Amino acid sequence: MSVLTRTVLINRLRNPEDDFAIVPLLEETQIDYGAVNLRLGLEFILPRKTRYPFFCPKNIDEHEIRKFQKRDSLRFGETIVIHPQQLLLASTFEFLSMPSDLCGFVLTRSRYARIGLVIAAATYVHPNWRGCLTLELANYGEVPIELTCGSQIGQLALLEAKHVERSDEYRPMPVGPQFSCMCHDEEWKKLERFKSRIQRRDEFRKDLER
Amino acid sequence: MERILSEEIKDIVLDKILQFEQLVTEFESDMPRHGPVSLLLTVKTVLKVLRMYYERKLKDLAAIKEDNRRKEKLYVNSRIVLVSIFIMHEKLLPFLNPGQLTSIPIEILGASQSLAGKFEDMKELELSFSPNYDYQFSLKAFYGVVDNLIDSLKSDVPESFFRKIKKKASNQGVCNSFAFVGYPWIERRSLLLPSLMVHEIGHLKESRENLRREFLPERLDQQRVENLVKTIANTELLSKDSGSGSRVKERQLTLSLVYPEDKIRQKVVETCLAITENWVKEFVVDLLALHLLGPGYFFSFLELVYIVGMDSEGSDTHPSFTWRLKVMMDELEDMGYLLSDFKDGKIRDLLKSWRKRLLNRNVIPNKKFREIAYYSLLKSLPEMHKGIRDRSRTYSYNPHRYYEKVLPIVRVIKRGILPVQRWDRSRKKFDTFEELDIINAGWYVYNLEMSSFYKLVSAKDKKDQQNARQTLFNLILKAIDSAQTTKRWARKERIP
Repeated sequence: MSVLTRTVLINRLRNPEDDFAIVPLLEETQIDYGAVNLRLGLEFILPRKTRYPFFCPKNIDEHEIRKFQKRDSLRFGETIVIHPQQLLLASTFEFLSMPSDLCGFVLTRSRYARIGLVIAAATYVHPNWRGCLTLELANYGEVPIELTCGSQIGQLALLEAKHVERSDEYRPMPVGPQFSCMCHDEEWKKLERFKSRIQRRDEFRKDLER
Repeated sequence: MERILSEEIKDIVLDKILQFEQLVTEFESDMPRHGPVSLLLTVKTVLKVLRMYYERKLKDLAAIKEDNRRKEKLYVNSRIVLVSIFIMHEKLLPFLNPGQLTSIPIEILGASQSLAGKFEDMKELELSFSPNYDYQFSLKAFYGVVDNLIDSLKSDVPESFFRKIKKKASNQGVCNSFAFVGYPWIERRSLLLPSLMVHEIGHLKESRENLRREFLPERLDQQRVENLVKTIANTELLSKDSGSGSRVKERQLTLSLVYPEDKIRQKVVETCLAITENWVKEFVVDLLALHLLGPGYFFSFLELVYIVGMDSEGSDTHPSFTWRLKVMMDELEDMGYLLSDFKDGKIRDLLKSWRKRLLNRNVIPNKKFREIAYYSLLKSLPEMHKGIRDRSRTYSYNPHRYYEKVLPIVRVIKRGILPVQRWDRSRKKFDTFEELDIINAGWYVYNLEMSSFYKLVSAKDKKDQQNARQTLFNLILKAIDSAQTTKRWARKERIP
């Protein structure tokens, strides 16, 4: 597994037959040595002031989650402020098309990281993935940070992978940030069964004690 | 007395100006997200001018001591300001309501200006959007709003002064560059929105250049008008049963006894002319849009027909969808999309199958007024086709361009890549796709390549396929926006 160099990246991006694409590339200088700089997109998912007490992932579907978060959008060049300890969801301005022989990692550019910004918690980009990456922006510093739509905020390091087969599941190709969809996880049901089994056992124990 | 009056007016006007300014300031904080900044600038400028004008007039009024005639004139002028402020408040308030404008897709704001720029002399146009909760696409020109505003001053000001400001307003280019587009909220993320927006922009072009006058039929179908007049004149006012036993037993009570035939004829002609004029307007705009966007416009119209249903009757404001489709099909045929030398066989066959389907469709309306408009217009249609073709020669979307530009984009979409740019080997730089080509490619995939797109995104059941269609629309909207940003970035332009 090795990181792709600038020359290899440029050659592959220029090849119209290659499934690898990062579009639009506003400047070719975005292709750095061993990584491609990514810009901040125009759509955001912002936290909402809510009367609901807590966020329960297994019970919240993509409609219910709007009680806690809302979508908003800005124009290219406009700014948004992220406050300390705040989480915003954004997306990359660039659309990525990953071929089956490449995977990637999204990283915060060091100049932003040094003022307390982290742009991605889920950093791995799968082979065969297509769309604009959702970024989880968090300010771990102590002062608010102004972010500009279209600024080069992150980096995508690309690594060679063995040819990975495409999954058979529906592939949505998002063009903006995506809400969490944890409720679709099949394992919640299994975990629920574990929980109810423990509860029943506890009740049985209490009955015996009585 | 005069002093008291002017003091009262002063208070009311200043109060209204302040109220309006406060509203604009509130709107300003949300403005970048909701619409063209220059709309806000215009409103602010108008307010500033009104304030300056009013304050100067008040100063003048105070300076005049004896000349009652001049005082009266100035008093009238200050009333104009007052009325203007009231009307502006009333007319512009719906557009300055941020809540109403929150669901504008960000991609559309940029696309609107770019699409308008494709028409000649429409580069400076800026659109503001407001979603409708009923299924309706509409356009309201800003100069129309201003024109209504001035018209409502008519009763308050002297005739000569009214004519003067009317002339001044019509010369002001600033009003011509704004329009408000209403669109169905449900279509906010659909490919229909940018495609049918071309039609709405076309309306503005048609209205600015008054094209309908050029293509109106010289006269209505006289024979049919006479027949209708006779039918109306001989309409019995009482049914035969209710007439029995009454005094008008021998003489039938018809409409011609109440209204003279000339009056009926005049009313019939007026109504038919109004319908014909409305229909001419729609046809002209359809043809302009078709030349700008090519087959993409025809397909977007077909999609609209799928949603609202095919009809042959139409309304007094719009001709029937079937007839409009037929007229568009004729134009596409003239443009060469159905000829065998058009290299893309798939699109040619699709258009041919639609021509066949439309051929036997009835387009003659049932209602008599519309029937007259139909037959009157039928004769002037060839002239209209020719006239619009001549006018749109510089930007007409010809089959050669379709083949050269659209099909490469289709190939990019089919591989699941955002169609924005590709490497141009000969020029050794990334080449950005045109917005119109992207829209056409979107309709191409939607109509002809959807099965391969389903395969690409692994859409198996109906729900997945529905999501896949939305994914395609999202890709196209994002591509339009990104292409525009890329071009502006390359030109080192100021990005609004």
